[in-house]
Amino acid sequence: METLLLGTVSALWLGILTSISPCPMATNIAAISFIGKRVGRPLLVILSGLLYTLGRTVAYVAVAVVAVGGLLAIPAVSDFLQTYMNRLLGPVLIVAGVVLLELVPIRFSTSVGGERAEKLAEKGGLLGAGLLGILFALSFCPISAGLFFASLLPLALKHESRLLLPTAFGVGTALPVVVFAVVIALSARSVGKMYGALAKVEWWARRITGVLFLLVGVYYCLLYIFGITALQPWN
Amino acid sequence: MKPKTIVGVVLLVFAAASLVYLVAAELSKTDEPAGAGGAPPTDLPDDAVVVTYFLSNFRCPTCLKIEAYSKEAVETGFADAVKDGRLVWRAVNTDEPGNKHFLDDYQLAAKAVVVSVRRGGKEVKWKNMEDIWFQVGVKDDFLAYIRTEVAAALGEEKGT
Repeated sequence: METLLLGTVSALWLGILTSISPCPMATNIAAISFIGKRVGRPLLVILSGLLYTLGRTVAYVAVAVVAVGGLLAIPAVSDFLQTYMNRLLGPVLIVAGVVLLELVPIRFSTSVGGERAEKLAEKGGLLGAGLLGILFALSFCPISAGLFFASLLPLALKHESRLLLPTAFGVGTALPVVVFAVVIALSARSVGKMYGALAKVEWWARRITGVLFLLVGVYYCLLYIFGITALQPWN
Repeated sequence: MKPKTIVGVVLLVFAAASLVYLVAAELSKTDEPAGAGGAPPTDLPDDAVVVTYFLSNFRCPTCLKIEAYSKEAVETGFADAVKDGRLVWRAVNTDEPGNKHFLDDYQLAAKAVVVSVRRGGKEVKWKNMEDIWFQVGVKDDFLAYIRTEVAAALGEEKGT
């Protein structure tokens, strides 16, 4: 029991290490911005953070089940996710950025309007946070692959835990992002309220999120699809 | 058409073009030629300890640190063994043609440092240094982690 607790804490720490390492920085910034964009609705920010965490956790547990369960070889799973997920992420983020900024008119239904449209947007935002969690978790960069496949999975095997340890890892990867998002959203809300401009702050938060999605999306396309490695700041 | 709609359309076209380029690049990829996979990227001595850093085309700050630290651990920690050829440090890119097999050979799921012992031209033992991701945060710990394994492997290589 004690060793399992120690393993769980180690898994949580591995997740936090993954999140604060430089290589997932671009997606973390996009996630912080997405989770915290509804500055006027703290409950929505917290719910988005929880769903983002859930999305990440579900993704890691699924990969752990597939890899540890022997359904697919660990090197093959890792190689596939590192090679293809980052490549798909760029176009997906660009489409999401275009939608967030409402650059292209999209009509879901002509009968939806007013309060119902607002509720749909809320639901869409929450669902989006969950999907973002899954997508970002599966887009392994070298350090997240190293910490997950080479450190966490052996630990999970040692403790015979396909569920608990990957869950702790997923929570760890989301924790710094969610804490940052909530702190930034609450600070922006206080500033907005102080100056009586909460609606304006929220309008800007949404725009900034959209622009960040576009920037990260274009960056990922250029780096991972067109192979312009000179764009990596550490080169 | 409004200017913001034009920007949106241009971005969507760019996203679609990226996907088309990705698919085309994948389809035009040629498989590794049969038999080429077994060829080592560098000539290795018949009897030696080999420390290999496995990298891929995409680098990251931590990966660069792991490469630099492992090289330093070998070259400054065992200068004599490196000089007389008993110890070799090398970097191998698994994305280059002919090197993909290393992923299966050593069960590599990420960038890795592998310490192997060669005797009579054959690899008789190897170890994937799995804790590099933990140890890289403290340079001295990382150097000690690699050097301990290399020292043990050099002892085995000599048959002591």
